[in-house]
Amino acid sequence: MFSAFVIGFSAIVVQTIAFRELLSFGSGNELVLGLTFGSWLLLSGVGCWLAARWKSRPLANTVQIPLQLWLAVVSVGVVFAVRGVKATYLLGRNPGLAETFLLTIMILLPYSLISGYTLARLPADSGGAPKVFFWDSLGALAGGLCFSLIFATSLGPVESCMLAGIAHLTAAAVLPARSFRKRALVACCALIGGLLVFLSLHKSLEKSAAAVQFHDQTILKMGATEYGQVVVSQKDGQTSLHENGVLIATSASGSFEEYFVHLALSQHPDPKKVFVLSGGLGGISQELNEYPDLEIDFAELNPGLTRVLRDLADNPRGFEKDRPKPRYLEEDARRFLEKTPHQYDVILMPLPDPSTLSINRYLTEEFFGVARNALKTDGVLFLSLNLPPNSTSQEDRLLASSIFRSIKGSFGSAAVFPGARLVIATAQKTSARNLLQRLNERGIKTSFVNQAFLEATLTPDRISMAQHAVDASAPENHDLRPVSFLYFLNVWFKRAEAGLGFFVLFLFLILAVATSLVTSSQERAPAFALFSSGLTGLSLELALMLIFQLKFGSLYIALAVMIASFMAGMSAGTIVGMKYDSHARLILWLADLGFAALSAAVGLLLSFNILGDDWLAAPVLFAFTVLSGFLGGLQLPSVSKYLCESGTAQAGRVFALDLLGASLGAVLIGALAVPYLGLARSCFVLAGVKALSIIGIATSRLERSSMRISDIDSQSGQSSHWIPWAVLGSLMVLALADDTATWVYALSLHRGYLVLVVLLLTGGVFAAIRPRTVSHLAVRWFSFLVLGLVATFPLARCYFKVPYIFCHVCPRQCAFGILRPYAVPLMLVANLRGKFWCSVVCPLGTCQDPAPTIKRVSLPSLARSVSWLVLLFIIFTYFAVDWSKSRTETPGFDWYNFMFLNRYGITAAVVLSILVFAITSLRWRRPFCNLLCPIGTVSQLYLDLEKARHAE
Amino acid sequence: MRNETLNRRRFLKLSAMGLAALSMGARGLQAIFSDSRKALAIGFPNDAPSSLWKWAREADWYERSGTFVKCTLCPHECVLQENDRGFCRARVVKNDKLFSVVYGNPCAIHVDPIEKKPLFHFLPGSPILSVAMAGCNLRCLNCQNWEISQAKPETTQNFDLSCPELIQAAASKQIPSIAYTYTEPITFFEYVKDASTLGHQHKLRNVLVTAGYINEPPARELGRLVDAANIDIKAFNRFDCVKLTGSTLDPVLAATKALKDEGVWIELTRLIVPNYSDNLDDIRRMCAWIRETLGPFTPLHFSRFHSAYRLSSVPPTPPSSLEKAYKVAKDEGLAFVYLGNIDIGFGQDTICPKCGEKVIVRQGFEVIRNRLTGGKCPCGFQVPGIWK
Repeated sequence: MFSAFVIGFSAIVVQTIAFRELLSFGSGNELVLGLTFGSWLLLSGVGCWLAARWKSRPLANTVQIPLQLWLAVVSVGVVFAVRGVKATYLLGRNPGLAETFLLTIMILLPYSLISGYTLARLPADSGGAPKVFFWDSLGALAGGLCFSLIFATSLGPVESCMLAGIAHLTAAAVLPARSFRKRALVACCALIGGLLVFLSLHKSLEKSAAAVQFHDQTILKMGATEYGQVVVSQKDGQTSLHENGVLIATSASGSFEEYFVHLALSQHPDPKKVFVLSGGLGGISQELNEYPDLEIDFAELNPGLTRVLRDLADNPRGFEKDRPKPRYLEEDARRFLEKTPHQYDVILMPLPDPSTLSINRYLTEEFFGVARNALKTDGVLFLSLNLPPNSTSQEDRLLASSIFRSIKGSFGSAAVFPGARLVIATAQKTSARNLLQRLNERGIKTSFVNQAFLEATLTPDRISMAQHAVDASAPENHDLRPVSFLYFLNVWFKRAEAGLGFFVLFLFLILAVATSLVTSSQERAPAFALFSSGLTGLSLELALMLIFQLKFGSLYIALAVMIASFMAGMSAGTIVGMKYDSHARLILWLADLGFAALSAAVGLLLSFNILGDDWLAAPVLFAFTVLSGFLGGLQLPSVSKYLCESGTAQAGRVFALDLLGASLGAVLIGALAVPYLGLARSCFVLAGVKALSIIGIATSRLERSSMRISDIDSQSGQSSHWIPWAVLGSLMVLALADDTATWVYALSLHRGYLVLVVLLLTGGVFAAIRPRTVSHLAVRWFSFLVLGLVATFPLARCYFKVPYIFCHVCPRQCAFGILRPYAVPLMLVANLRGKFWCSVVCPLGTCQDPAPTIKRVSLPSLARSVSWLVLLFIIFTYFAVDWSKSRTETPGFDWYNFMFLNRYGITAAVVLSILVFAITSLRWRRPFCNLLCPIGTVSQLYLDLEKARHAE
Repeated sequence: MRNETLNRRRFLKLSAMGLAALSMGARGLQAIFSDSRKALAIGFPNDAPSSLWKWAREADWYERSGTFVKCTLCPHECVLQENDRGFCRARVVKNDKLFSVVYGNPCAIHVDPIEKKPLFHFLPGSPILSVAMAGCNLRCLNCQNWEISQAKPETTQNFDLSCPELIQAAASKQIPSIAYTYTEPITFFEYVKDASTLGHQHKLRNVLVTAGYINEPPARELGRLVDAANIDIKAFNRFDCVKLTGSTLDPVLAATKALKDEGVWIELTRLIVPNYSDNLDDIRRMCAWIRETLGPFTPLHFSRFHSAYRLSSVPPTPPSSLEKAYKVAKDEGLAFVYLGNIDIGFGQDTICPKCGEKVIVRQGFEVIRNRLTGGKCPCGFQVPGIWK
């Protein structure tokens, strides 16, 4: 079980490091974080599922040792891979959503898939999956605590991953030893050896990894903070600050910093004390340096940044020595403002985009209330938003308006100024008219801000555009209803030229795999309960952490303790669940009821704002976190009882269901539901999901089957039916989604793709000629993947909605339309040998071939007649439609107009037909092919003739 | 099938199948590679609005080829069908005709100082009415105006502004010139053409702020109507151009030369993006080309990059990179080199190449002092440009 412990330990460490490193792919927004987290869990889930499908026996040492060694290497390799991609492929560019997803999958796949696979195939001495799960949770608990309390603040990313790698090496070394004593001895030796390697290599490896990413810059300082690695680099005399590879600030000042600082300070007759949130390194401090008597308090979104900057030998902020020393705060800025006795004249907030909920908490009405209390009566707050200077889109307007209204809600009035970024101020009486006068009075010289600059910036049209930008009807931004974060996501979607279609596809994939696992389980209700527990457990954990963050600030250690509490609860729950596994049904009930009640309770607490007092909130949140973990752990042994499979298959299925549920929770709840619905409603949704699970358990008989393992093994191919449908469904989703239809269409018309299709069709005929030389399975899947698009596109995007015909009169070309004159004859030719096309190659046929265990019957003989009638009708309409279209006189009845739906998108009738064929294919053999398809009918005619000839 | 023996009948059948496969496959490949399918994937298929904008105007530069419409305005040369939208998002096919759907429908109108374009040798210190329409035929990763350049006209907030109304707006505010800017003016070619023609009748000057990705014949047509152009040379090699903008270099150079031949006052801009377009050899080659083709008195502006759009993780251009670029341009013999978006003590003023005195002193967008009289330095040297 040491291996399970090590995998749990390593997974937490490598996962956290990988997330931080991958953050820069999407400018660190939470949607990408959700997607990355979801991908990790999905890959681990798929690894478990593969273990369940392929082999039922636990891993032998000869296989396990290489796998552990592999994990040791790739755990460090992940960091190098991410940085290599950034340095050589991305070059500072932010990839779009699909590209982020693909890069994430490629980088995480070697670690997550193998760790999931190894975990599910670990030998369980006794207790099966629950025992492996228990040790994995315990490992995760240890990893979480070590990382949060030691690694995060004292070690770099490579160093942390090296320690995870050493744990894997130790696990590999221990495996051959037989007795406990020998194992302990080997483990100690391996650990000491590993640590010696660590001590001799860690500095150089950490530097090498940094050099990969900052190859063209001089690294001045690297430091670990609670929020990730901070690097201060220099190139051509310009200092840059990076957090987890994301550019935070640069030293050189620009025109906007000058305008922003002096505009804000000109609004106060005699500013003495200023609070600056974010931007401590950048040009803001250079401009503040112009005010020699000013007392300045600096706070950063990541308090650890201050520590790293303070330790730098030179002074990157450029402050003169003979002035009041600025104060650099090393604590959460919101928390500080809540408690500070100081009162400020000006608060400056040059914040980055509200791309995460932790930035959003500085833009809510609640925060502005805190800021108002920290300002003197004549004090002003200035913040800037990254809006384009020449035009504002509706998405920008909603974002700016929600923040503007939040300020107005707290301060009673607000004003806007145009500029390279939009400036929002708290007082309505603010004016830029006295800016130059104040600068003259104070003897401040500027590089950019002068009469011409103001005349160009504060023109009536630009002022009116700025006012227009904040007058959209958007609700106020609140801590628990972070609408500004949601509006920013819309801006980000637009910038990345992405839409929700991609998320729908991702969710569809998770649901497809999960549905396959649930439906092929011996008992479906417990399987669904486990899946929904994974979903609810992780979502609740995220929700509780978010509430904690909103209430108490980004107290990193406390958040780490929350994660540890969750894992501790889970371990305890697993022990209790194993102890009382004879009452499996009762435990299932209790855990599900507990989850539903807990979700509803959190929702109610938030709705009625019961968690108002700190003394009540902290213990309640910790208790809920422990309980959430406990319920997840409690249920697992009971579900295992009902799955009735061999050890590895059981572990694979159990882990896969749990991880897939968690993956869905990370993406659906963590990234989408919270901004769209708000926290409280998201919790009620979770309660609803659990209610469904309870209904499922209540309505099923839950009898433990007497099925033998051998029976189960024979069902190993049972879940194959979902694969073609999943791929087909994905293609349909892609084709349907507005934002992807264009590129899917473009892809289908790409010359390379069309050539591939023609070559495949031609090769298909030769495969039919020499059927024994090729694997039918390989041909089937390869052709399905290639031809799926061309075959299904006419369903989704066609004016006639009948695949394979009418292409000659269709007003728009599609891939099938272009290929039809060559593809149809090739299909018919390939069918001359045992209907090779229909039985092996055709993707529509593949979709209708469910698992071999499902016994299907032939269609009634009447169906043959129907197929002939359909063929005759198709031949007739083929010519009739063409003829109708070519007629010049005004027709009475017109076959073209009769058949022409004039709708390029998919219709409800098509969706319904697909569903009908999908369902009926579980009962009858290939209903579409045998009833409607003209290729199938014509080929069957030839086959019948051949049979008749042989019979003679 | 597994126990089949090969007899004459079966041999003929299999041979026929193989021959059919080969011939049909070859025919299919031939069809795919035929010219009529060329560039089908460019643009946005079936993306045209259901009805045309009220002032949509038939495009000037396109040709019909069978069932296809081929736009010939820019080197992308989109081949489109009914209801398709061009790569620039501003042109659609309706009733077998290509239409500009942004005509008279700008999404941004502002008054800027002309130094902001930047144009330093064209009516210095004067305001300019700037107008933009949604769409662009490039895909620059660093676009400052991506919200309008990478948007369909139906999704931006637009104004009704016919050409006469635009001219009226400039004349009523006593603004001497109009800039077609922010997005790529080539994509609203027809509006630029009509407004420029009308503007000339009212003694208004017309300025293009463009990346110059246009075919030569339309560029020459435009060159006869506009007075000045600031052309953004994104990089001086094909690889970096494609990487940064999705377009190639040669058409830009050809169009720049064509505009110069047509008598347009040309100033060039090179944005220095770290790791993308800051290679000094590349800058040196560009400067040599400018000197040889456009002349050593062509003003060149090096601009500081600030993180934007898809390049939000690239730091701003270090000041010393701009200094080095400035030195390279001077070494190559260019007389008027300027630095934009930065203040490092030089690179903002116009210096007479003959006497070395500062003839126009600038601070940001403000002209502090102008010693030129009709473009002449007190030393008698005629500084090239349009000064009144």
